[in-house]
Amino acid sequence: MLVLRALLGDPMHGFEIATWLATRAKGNLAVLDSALYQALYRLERQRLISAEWGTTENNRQARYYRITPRGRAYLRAETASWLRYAQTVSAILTEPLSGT
Amino acid sequence: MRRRRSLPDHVRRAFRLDLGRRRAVERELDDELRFHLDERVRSLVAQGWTREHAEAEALARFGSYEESFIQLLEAARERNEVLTMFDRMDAIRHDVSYAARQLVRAPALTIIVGLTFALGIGANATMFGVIDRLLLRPPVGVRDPAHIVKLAAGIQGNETEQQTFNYPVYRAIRDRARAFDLVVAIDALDVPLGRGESAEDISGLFVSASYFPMLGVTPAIGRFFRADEDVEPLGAPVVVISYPFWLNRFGGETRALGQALELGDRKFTVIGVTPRGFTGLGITGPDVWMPFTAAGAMQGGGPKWATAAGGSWLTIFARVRPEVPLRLAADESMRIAREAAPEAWFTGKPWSFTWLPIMTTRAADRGVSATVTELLGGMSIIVLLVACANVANLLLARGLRRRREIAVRLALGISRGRLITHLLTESLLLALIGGAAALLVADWGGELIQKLLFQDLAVTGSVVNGSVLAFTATITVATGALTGLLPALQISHPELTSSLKSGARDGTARRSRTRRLLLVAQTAMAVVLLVGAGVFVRSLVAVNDMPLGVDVDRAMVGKMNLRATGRLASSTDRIFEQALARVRKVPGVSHAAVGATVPFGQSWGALVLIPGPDSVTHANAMSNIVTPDYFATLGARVLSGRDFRPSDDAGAPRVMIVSEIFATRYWGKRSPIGACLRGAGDPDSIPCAQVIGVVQNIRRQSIFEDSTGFIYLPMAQAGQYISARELVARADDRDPSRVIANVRRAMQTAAPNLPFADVHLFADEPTVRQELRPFRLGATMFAVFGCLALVLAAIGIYGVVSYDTTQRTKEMGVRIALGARSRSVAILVLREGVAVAAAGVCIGALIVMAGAKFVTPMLYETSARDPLILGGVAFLLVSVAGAACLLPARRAVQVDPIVALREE
Repeated sequence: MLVLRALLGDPMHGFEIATWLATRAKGNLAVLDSALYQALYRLERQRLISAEWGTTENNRQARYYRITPRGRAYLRAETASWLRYAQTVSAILTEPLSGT
Repeated sequence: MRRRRSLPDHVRRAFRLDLGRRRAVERELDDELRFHLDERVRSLVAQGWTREHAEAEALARFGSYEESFIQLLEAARERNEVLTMFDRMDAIRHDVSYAARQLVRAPALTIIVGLTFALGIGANATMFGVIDRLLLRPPVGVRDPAHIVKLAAGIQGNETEQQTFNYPVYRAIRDRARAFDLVVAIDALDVPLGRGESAEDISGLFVSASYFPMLGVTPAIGRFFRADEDVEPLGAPVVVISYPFWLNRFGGETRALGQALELGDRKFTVIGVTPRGFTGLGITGPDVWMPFTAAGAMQGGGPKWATAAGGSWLTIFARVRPEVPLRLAADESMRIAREAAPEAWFTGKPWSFTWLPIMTTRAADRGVSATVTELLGGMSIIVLLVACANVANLLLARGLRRRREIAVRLALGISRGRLITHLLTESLLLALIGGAAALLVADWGGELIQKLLFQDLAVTGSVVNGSVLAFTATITVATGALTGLLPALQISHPELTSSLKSGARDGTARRSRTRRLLLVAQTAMAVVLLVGAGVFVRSLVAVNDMPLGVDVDRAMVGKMNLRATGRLASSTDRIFEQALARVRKVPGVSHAAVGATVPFGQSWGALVLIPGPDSVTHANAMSNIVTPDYFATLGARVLSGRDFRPSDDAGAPRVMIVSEIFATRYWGKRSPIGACLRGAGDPDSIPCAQVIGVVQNIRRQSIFEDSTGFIYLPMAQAGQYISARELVARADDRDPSRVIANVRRAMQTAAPNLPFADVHLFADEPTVRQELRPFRLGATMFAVFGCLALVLAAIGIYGVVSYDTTQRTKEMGVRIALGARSRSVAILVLREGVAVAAAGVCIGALIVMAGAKFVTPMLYETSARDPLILGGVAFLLVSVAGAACLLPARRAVQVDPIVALREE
């Protein structure tokens, strides 16, 4: 989901995505790079993202990922449901204890 | 971040196919991960890490590299497989929607092609359905039908001539032959069910108790016959009913078991129901099965059925032991039969037995009809080819119109393979539309064929079933591919591009030649089909013109199985007198009479003594005993002398009428009238009867037989010699079908409690129907197919000529500008179409000449090479071709030279 969110902007290659996530999470999400690639390939297989080879500014070949329309729709739906879930859970957790 | 977009991924994937897909995925993964690690190292170094530390950290953040690599490789492979599949599906969907758009854009063409396919494929699906049902399918529910054989006897040259035998022969083979596991006797008879107004005839099969075990069927409910229920002289009155009979009569309820059916003169208890779809060994099954020996008075072999070895009336089947050669089995059976029945017709003569495997005789049992059906199957394939040629032609023409579009697409770099795929998708789509419509055609056509031609085979339900569907699907795809491939290959030809760029039209001539060849082939096939129609129609006409001595379309026969209900001969005579009196009063009946036998039924032989000047001649003849008016009722003319009169009664001098062939055989050109002959019954003891008339030959049992000599005696003088009675009546000018119902009612109510009176036209006698069927079938179907082919050929010729004329507008313009008269321009156009037709006619004629020998045996007094028919067909085709060119010719004549020239 976070990967999809990352790709809402310009297409990015794997390392860019890793950096993007690390920056946003401020060290709170420790994810191994290999796990990121597993996630990317899975999303690609589900046709939520697509990939094509491109050239970086350093003139190297890199595999760039972009979100597909299908991916956008999926992200929208998942975000909404995640927010609902998170709100519910946090509402319950933060509810003051009654009767004391 | 600037980057150059590179080739789309799937193209890369496609290109890498050559390297081997697995290796390619591995390399791609390696590239991506290496890039990732390099970037990580670079970014760490930028943050101030040393190179060694940075590399170690990069690997650490990645996770165990070797292990992850294997997992990621697996994931990447799986991903690629899924995506490739989606790519392919996308490509197909794209092709199909592109093709569909193209078809919608040209609705007229789509409809014409769809219809052409529907007719072509439909004709095939129909014929396949009919052939499949009649000829291909093994009998339902029969175990190991390959080892079931049927006994036939014959003389050299016609080994299977006689296929009926008698009970002593059956019994001897059953008891003594060692070649078989089981031997079965079968006799099919219509059985009277019930009495009075609600009486009816149902079809019955008398079978020995070994019948069901031989076929290996198990009952749907209840049980089959036990051996002790089939014993001489009178077996148990038990009956097995068919599945449809069970549904109709007992609503498919189990309580049917134990119910009684009044069949003939006994009440039979229902003991079992055959499984659904089971029809025994025939194509249509009976309503009821009864133990062979339980028939009593219904017995087909007459009162002495169990011992009389002279006649022949039952068929013998057997399950042969797998290791026994049929030849040996036949010799053994012949030896046994000769010992057991020394007085049988096959003893002491050069007869031999043959055991025929039913799987090979099943088709032959349908006789000429089967052959004609097979022939029609072949014809329907020709129709399909004509349809294919036509569609290919239309697509080719359209392809030519789309040259520019295709050239543009080729220039844009679309591969030839892809273009061919596109065009093929279009033709496949068209074929699918046609195929779907074809099923409707088959459903309707199958019903029509059944109704028109196989009415006596009570096959119900649509001919469309699983195997027809599969067959249709197969030929649909095959036709789609066939018709699409030729235009696709031609149009996508690379030369085209250059020829188009120059704007020239020099590609036309060559392609037009292909189209003309297709047309010639089409015309040739149309010729073959139309000649087929012609010769069959001529045969049918010849058969209808044959003097049968029976006006089969006006004369009807009324049968009532009184013997089966156990009535005595005297009461039978009284009932028929009553019935005759009533039938004569029925409105629409012009004549009616009673005869001991009628044409196409049973017949009795008689020995006749003809006194000559010096000696007495012993002559064999068939004899019949009839009331006055019998000949007029049938429509047979009395050639000389007179018919019987009511005054020729028991007290009057004995009289006799002889048939024409009998008269010529024994008297030559002299008149037999006045001669006094003895015949019928015991010739030595009865007084001689004087010949008072000569009647036209009347058929005995077949339309195609050679006439047999007949003697006719008056009912009032000789009624006692033959006890059987049948009623005949003749309809006047009114619709015979109405008269039939009234005659039936009159007969049925002639006395209380009569069994079912079966009244029908002689034309509806099973023998007549079966004998006429091949010609009706051939004439109808060939005519339909031939007209179809003719219409298709006409459309094809019109299409090509009109297209070519448009292409030659400039040329026409120049000609007209140069002063060509409109007549010569018109002739120019006409010549094109007529030349194609003429070439087709010549080739078609050659095919007819070559193929004639296959068809001739199926015709009656008609040559398949009949020059008149061939000439007529040739004339027809050339005129149709000419007519098809008229419109283009008119257009050519009206070309305005200035407009035509400016266009270029």
